[in-house]
Amino acid sequence: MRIHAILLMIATMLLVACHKDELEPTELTSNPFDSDYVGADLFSLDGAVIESYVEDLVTYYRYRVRVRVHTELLLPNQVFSVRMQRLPDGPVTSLHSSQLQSDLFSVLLEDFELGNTYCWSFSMGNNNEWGGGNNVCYTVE
Amino acid sequence: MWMVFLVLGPFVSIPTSLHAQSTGELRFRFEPPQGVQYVLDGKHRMTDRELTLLEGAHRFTFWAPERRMLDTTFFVLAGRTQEFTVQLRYAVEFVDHRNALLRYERNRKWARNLPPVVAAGAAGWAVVSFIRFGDRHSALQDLREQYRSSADPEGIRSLKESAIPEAKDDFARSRTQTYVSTGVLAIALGATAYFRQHFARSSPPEFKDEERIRFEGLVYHPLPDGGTWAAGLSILLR
Repeated sequence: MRIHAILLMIATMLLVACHKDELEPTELTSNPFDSDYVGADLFSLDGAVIESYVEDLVTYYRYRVRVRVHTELLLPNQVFSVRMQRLPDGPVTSLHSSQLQSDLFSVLLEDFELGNTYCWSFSMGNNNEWGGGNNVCYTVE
Repeated sequence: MWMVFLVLGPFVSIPTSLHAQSTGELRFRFEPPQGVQYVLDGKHRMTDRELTLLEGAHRFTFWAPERRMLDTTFFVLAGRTQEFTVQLRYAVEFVDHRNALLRYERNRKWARNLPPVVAAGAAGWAVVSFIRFGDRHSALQDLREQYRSSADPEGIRSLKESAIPEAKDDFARSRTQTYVSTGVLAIALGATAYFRQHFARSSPPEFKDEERIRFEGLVYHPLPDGGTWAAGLSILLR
């Protein structure tokens, strides 16, 4: 009887051991700061407004493209930086979350043509290291 | 004439001495000291250690429990007391039985004691392995949580390239060790139960004293109340 109880305990131990799941690094892709991030877009187009400005008595027009950072995909109060680059080979700039008033920030589109689509690459990161991200495009209408 | 005297002289003088000193005494020391019986001249079953017999040759068949029968002849000298040490060797059947009993006891001792000892060791090993396995699993879960909460891309890369694979290896090793130790424990427990039941059912080998049967077949020995009729056949091969 006692041996049966011990055998039952062993079977339980083995079952518990069998059901403990492993951790596969290649399957870890859910963190937005991971360069292998796979999931919902971290950045999306929120809208664009055209605005004018004067420089050397010349009036120019440009688009202010609003981009939303989906902070709901981050942990609460998580600080981050955004790396942005106009595609295909525009200059790379970055922005820290402390500079944001909300989940929105803007990129300026100064040289544009109607009907063209312009894209930017955005990445999430910290300490000049970059993780997940996606492209956001805007078609000038 | 002298030749005739030399040849016949001793024989002529024997009847005179036989008539005058016709008995002699035998004293036995036995090995083993207790339980020796003997049959004298194929007729009398006795246990006496001292006996007086007519001069001449007398046939003795000695026996003791577990010992081999000994057939021998003593020549009783008239008027003399002779001492003999009779050593009975162990019967082949008894030696075989004793060896079988020793084997049985040795096997019984090992079979009853070794599996529980192994089981106890394996149980300790299994518990330690299981605890270690739990720790390794917790470590992996901690790394998973670190991954989930990290905002450092470099830290995440380091986690995925070194920390998690190393922890995974440790986890796999501890899991294998847990399987092996619990397997050994299960086998040892099974062996413990099996041998316990096996030796509860089995009994040690019994000794059947074949020499006793042969010895008792040598002579009819009435019981104190008159005895019973019995028939037997004994073939003495020696």
